[in-house]
Amino acid sequence: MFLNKAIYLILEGFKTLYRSFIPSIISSLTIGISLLVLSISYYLYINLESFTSDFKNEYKIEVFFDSDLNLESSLNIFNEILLIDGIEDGVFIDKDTASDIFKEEFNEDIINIIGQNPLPMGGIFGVSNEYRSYDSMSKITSEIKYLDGVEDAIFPEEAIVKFDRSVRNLLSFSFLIGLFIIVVSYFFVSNTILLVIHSKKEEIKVLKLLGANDLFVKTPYIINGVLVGLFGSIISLIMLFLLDSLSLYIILPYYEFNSANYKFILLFNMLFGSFLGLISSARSINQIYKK
Amino acid sequence: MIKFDNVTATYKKNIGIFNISFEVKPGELVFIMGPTGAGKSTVLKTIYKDILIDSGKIFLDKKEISNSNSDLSISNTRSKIGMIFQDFKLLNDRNVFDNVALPLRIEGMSDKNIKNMVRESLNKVNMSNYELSYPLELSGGEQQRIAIARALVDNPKIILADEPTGNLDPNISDEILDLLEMFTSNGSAVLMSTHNFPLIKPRNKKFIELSKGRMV
Repeated sequence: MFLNKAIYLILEGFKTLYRSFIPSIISSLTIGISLLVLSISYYLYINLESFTSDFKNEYKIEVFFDSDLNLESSLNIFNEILLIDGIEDGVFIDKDTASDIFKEEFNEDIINIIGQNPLPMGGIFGVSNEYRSYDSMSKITSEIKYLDGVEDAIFPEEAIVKFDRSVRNLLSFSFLIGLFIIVVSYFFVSNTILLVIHSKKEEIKVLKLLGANDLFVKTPYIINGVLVGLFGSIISLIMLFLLDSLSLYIILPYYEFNSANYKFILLFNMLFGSFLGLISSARSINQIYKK
Repeated sequence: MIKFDNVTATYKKNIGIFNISFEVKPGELVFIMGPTGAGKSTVLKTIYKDILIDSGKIFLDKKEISNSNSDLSISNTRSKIGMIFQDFKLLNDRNVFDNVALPLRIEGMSDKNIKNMVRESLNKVNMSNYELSYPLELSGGEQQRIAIARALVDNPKIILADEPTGNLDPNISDEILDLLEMFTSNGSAVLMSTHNFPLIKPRNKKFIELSKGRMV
């Protein structure tokens, strides 16, 4: 008996799709567009993160050793710095390399100017991913400064502070935008699903008069909501595919986008679309049911 | 089968039904008579629990359904009653078969049983050839026959008919009454509201007359 009822109610959920074809299509499109906007936001977020990470690869600490240190002592300090927590790699700068760098930056040979090479030996050190913030880099730099034989250690403080603040603001903004899209799409979708259920108000009344209990009346509409959500997610995936193909021709020549995790987007859209349809139809049927 | 014991049910002050008592026995067809606003539909609504009563007792098949302790929920009560309405209350986007099958679907019967019972019920109201038709393709009389087939499909002991001939012409109305009368022969109790006294007069059946919510 229960199985007969369950099969009937599931089939009714499917049949409601074509019985209320136009409102169902409108609801699916609404969900599709909401999911498309969310997916694009996610895609942009991924690219922003990747851009940030690329930029942070350039975070370096420059260390200058005392000018009277010989090569062996300098190499010892260089190796000591490499062992500090947060230091990922380093390039040793001997006197000749320092002179080359000077030449590259100022277009002048320092030996020609003052007759000798006064530049100290030193190193340029990369910082591992989790230490690429102003606070961590300040801490590491202070630690390096305390080492014997180190004249100075610097990193681009102001640029890092500004960049970190901008990234933080941008990420908070994109999080708020995502949240806003989710809330707006929930109300948008639940109101369009309300249209589907509103058109079935008389049917609900008749079913109740014939002795149907709440579960019997509500289940097909809830199943219908999930199906509408699933169709919406398929619509969003088709639109995303088209946009992705289109972007190959329009954007790719100028900027190479990082490809997002397509499996995640597919799964997220299917699950979130169905969930959106489910809660929207539950809200709508309860609203109609109370009247 | 249906028993009203001093039942009062009000919507607002002085609108409703007051101190109504009557009994419909198995196999009996009883009419509730009265002008518009007399309380005929209210009597039926208290039976299928669309309106809750203020006082008195209502018994269906010897079980009291009116008190809040009753083990019969609204949906349980309704599933035991066959209901027929003036505006048919058929679902226009489903064919005749699906409309008649609805009460059986609600009970969770198997497809095989549903097929047999729906065909049997449609046969009783002479609408066997209309299984695949949609309500809007049928005349008013035919739609009411389908509504009757739906009310009878799971052989209820109690049938309530709220002005079932209200939208039909006299000849068809007579046919509908013939059908309802026929179904009392298997022991069902039928309670029908109508304001059309000339229609029921020749039938010489028991009737309850209401005026302003009170029995006359």
